Amino acid sequence: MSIRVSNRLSAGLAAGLCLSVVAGCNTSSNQTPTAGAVRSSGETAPTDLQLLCASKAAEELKVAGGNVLPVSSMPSGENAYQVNLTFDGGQAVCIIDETGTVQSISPA
Amino acid sequence: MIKLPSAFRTLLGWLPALAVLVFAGMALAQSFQTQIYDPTTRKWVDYTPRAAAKFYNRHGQSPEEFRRQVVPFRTAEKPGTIIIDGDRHFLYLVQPNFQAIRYGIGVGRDGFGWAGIVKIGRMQEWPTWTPPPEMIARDPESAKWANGMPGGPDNPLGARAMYLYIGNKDSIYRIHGTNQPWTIGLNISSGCIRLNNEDVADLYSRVEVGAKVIVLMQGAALYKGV
Repeated sequence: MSIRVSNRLSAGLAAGLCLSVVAGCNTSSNQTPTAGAVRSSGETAPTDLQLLCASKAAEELKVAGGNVLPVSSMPSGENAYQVNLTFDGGQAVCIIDETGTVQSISPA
Repeated sequence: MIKLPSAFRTLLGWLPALAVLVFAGMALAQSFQTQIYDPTTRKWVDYTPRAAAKFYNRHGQSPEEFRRQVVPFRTAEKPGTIIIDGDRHFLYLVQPNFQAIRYGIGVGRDGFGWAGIVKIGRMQEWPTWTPPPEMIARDPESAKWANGMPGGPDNPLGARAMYLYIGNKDSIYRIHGTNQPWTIGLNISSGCIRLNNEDVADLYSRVEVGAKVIVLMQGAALYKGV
């Protein structure tokens, strides 16, 4: 009985190993784009991060009406983006990381 | 030997720096374009109107990224707000619980893109298309519709239109359908935002007059009101 369990265990381990190998292959193959994958020719901050910056700037800079518009963005160091903002009467620069945490907002 | 005035010599000295500034400005103003991965060459290539038409003819639809789907979306904007990312050719309709419905779009070609904060002022099913005088001047073929082209499958505005307003004034820009569904993902319009007819009908059914519309497009002209 114990031998049969061991065999099952071995088989399970082997299967798990195979799966992890396959999963590993899948992980690496995911780095190659699939046919029909699309991207933009330029790199901007994700849309939602740009808007989080705008919302935070409206709050911190007390912008009347809350209308702050992201006008450009770019990577800033590792795992963060710079988002340039404009609003009626001024401009600001926001730094936000990939988790959505605003690191700084500075009037420009 | 000709001796140049000192002011002129100073200006010549600044020319390289001026050229850098001018070209930097041009680069910033240049709109982003879609690229598509070609598995045969293993390279990213420009998604031109020709490539888009070829893809659409082969697959009967646009690339998967441009098809309607629910995506995570962290935002403080309230559900029902429309956010347009012209650089990536996506329109987001904010939903509860930090989600959005994402649609593929076509946007303004070089020189016709814009950014700003507007609202939906009016909505219309199977809208009439009336080319503005500037379009008629650019494209005499459109003159025959100067008094309006009735709504229908051949109408460039497609199945639905949402008219974008600043306050109570029509901005002349619209979110609308199209009779050219292969153009999703391209910079091709005169400033309007187009979706395929199925998507624009879906969006139309979910939004209301007065909804806030935020249009992002790097390097594009800012529409007044911001």
